[in-house]
Amino acid sequence: MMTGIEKHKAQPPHRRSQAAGGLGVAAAQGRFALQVCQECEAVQYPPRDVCGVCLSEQLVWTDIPDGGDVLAVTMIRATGNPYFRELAPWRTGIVRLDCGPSVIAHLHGSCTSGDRARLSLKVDSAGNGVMFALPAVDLPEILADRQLQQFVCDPRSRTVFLLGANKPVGMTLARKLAEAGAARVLLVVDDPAEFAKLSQTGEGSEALEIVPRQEIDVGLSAKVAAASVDTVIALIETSDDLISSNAMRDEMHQRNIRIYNIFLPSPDTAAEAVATAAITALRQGVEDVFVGGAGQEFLQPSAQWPGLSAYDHKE
Amino acid sequence: MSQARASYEGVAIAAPVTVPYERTSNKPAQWWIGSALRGVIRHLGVQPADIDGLSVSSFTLAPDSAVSLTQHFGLSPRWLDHIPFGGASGLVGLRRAARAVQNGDAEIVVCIAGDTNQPGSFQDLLTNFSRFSQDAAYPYGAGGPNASFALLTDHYMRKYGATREDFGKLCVAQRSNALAFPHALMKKPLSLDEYLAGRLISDPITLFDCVMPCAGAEAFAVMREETAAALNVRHVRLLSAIERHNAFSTDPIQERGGWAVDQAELWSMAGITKDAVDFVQTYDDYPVISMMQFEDLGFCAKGEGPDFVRQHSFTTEGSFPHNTSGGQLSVGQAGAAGGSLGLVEAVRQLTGQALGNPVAGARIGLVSGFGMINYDRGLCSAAALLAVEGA
Repeated sequence: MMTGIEKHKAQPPHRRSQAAGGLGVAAAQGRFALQVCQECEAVQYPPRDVCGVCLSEQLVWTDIPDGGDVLAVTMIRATGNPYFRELAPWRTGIVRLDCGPSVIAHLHGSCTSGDRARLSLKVDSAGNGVMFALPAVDLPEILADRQLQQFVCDPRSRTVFLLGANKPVGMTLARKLAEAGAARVLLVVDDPAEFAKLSQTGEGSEALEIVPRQEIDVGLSAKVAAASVDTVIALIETSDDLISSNAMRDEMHQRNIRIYNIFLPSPDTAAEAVATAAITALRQGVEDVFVGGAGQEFLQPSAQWPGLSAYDHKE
Repeated sequence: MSQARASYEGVAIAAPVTVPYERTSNKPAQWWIGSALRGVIRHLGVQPADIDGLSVSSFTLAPDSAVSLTQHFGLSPRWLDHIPFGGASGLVGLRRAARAVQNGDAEIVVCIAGDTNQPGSFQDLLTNFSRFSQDAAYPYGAGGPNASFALLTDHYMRKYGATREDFGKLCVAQRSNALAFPHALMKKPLSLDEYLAGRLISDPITLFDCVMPCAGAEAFAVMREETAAALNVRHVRLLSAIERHNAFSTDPIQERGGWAVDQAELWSMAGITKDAVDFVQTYDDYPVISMMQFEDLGFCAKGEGPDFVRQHSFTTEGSFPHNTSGGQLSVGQAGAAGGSLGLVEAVRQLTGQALGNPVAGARIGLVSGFGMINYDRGLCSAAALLAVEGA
């Protein structure tokens, strides 16, 4: 029996150029976008400041087809980097995208040389966007891949902090997480007594535990550490919800803990449907989950990465 | 249509110097480069004040650059160059220095490539190598050049049928050459069976496909033949030289280098064919890239590298003497000095100063350089044909 997910102290290599920051923004939203030149239409990779074909500076992040051919594969068994030393051996390859660029990518275990593949952008545990090659067709056990698990959030065996759990979807999502195998779900609520009354009706799962909001306001880090939290999920309705989630993001990234923002649609959407959509997105590693198009009002067109929208993480 | 390249006639290369390599060193790059400079000055029998041109290549010199070294070494050159092109630096430096002495910008240019190797310095180099590497290569397993060349090797093996035995044959021959070369860090014989049993580093690359990072320096002097004659130093002539960067950028994965663009000019400018060459010094940080150089420099067609290797023998006594000092694979890779190792060895071979086994009767040698995996492929390629005096 698994007692928890693989945990790593070291951080993946985190230094990136300013342009490459766009990969992280696209990845967080579950998009596969690269810069496309507005003058000659060339797709750019690695990210550039001017077009690698015509030198135009009009490079706009655009959703592009994700298909490609796996041209070469290696299994890296030796590295001086502490993060990958813990994870070794680690498999990477070169995938030639149908739309042009060749991409060095993390490989799903079932991708081999000569195969077709789908490239995706995932967020790594330092918050950067990285290329991950998936098999061209969906496999039933796709999430079982050891490398993919570093970038996605399968609730199985995880200890999850659920912020804003007193919102209408909270209890439904918590139960779904428990059903999906989460080891513990800590429901952070503003008023524990009130919440306890609300949640009386359901058959309580022993995985669920209520945590008063004040407790984390005074010592979030301590609580996260004491409870061995792997994952934080924040239910977002208002800008205050988003601000408090974003306030934690940097600190959590330093602990290799991912925060998933679930932007909630209008309250009349069935809680069941919202929770299902949220869990699907977690399993794909999408950090900003706009259920049914919710939450768009928080996004601003990005000046730094034309074509992408983002909210200010540091608000 | 571009005009024909001017001849390198009258250019002499002399004073081949290798500062013996060390696996790790607590001495900084400045020490290694300074020692090489002292070696060249002694060899030429001149004073430091006579050196009016300096070309430097190093990865570990920061925060210094070539100009800092002029003060450190007490030189006052009127021509100064700093070449950050890794494995192509030696040949690029030679080409620029050749033009400087031809045109009277300098009388004697000393070209030095040197690096130290301290705990962590190789890792620092990998982490900060280039922007594209930082954004799109290093975060993918942090395998460094081993992983980059593993991908190229995997593709080349499947596309052109090269086998581990083919690569092993090159490595084993180089080790045989190295056993006679006093500065080689690898001093034990290597059999093909031992090569094949080497542990996997980054599949399909194994231990004996990889160079050992080390500290060291290589240097030579460039001047006019008249100057060399006046100093009474043995020298070689520069018949031709090519350089190319970011060639074939739309190839999906690297299976050829820039030599393939320019090799016809290399041969025509020298006025010789490949049959006139007595030895070849390739840039050999992994055997696959040596095989590509055989193809792209015109010794065989693209894809025939594996068969070429099977047809030939590569020791100093072989049918195709190759990397006669043992190359980087057996001598060690002293950072940027790896890009001058073959050039300095070629000058020794052609001036009767071989430190290891000489190639009997060698009159013409080819030297090739390759450098800078900026993202997914090496961007710099260069080559030169050198000849003995009077050839």
